[in-house]
Amino acid sequence: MSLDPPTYLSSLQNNIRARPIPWDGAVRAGTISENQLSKIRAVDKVRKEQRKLTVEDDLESYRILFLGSQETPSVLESAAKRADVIQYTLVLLGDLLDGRNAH
Amino acid sequence: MTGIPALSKALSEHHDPYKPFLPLLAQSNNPEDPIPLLTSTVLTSLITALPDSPNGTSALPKLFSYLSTLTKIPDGGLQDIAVLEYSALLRGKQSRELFWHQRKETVGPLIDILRAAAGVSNGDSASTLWNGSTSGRSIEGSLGGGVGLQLLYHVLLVLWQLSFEGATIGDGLEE
Repeated sequence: MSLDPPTYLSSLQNNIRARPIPWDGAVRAGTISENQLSKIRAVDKVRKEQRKLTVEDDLESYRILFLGSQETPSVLESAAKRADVIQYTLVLLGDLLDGRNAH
Repeated sequence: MTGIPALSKALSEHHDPYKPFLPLLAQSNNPEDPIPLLTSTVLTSLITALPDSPNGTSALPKLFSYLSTLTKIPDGGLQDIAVLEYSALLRGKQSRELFWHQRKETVGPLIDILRAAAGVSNGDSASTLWNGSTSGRSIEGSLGGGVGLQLLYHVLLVLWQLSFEGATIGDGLEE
């Protein structure tokens, strides 16, 4: 969206960004794969410019991470039962699409 | 705001880019559930980033339906989020036509917001504001019915955007 997000929305996003996610546990539980986690970590809580370079360097992997492919489900699908992971992923994707700051 | 245009483009080239999102939009009837709300903002960003994408409009009917549920609840914060997303989406001609096609769901609640702002409820046509004579009672950024000025402004913006399809909808808006 081109207009500034309403306060309600930005405070919700800030809360979710600040929430710790037990990522390693999610991998052990099979909610997400090692590979999905490494793609998330590479862009999570890093500077905007760095994040942009990382994604632009590996567009195919990020497309598969968020949308899935014939063989692999999207992280939004594989983590369907984990509301915290879904919320975090949605905020992260929104940040990548809109260029919002990670903090 | 500058995101990563190459990412939006790569996502839009997926054979079914909206598939993981649509079930999340519909998963709950609780308007304060963050998952459908966040999903709607991501979908809006995706769709508006690439207005010419051939897939662009396939997710719109469901997205409009979800956003319309937010406009119907008496929460100015959620209403404003929905109306701002409408405004972003209605930059495209095809999306304006789809929006109008779903007008009972989409436009109806916006008219109710205007009526509340004008102090008209249930056909109370005696309201001064609705009849065009202002009474000077609105202060502190809120009009009748507790409707915030910012929300009112965004609702009017959406109706103005719709008016670009005057040939199709002009008569309907008059009603």
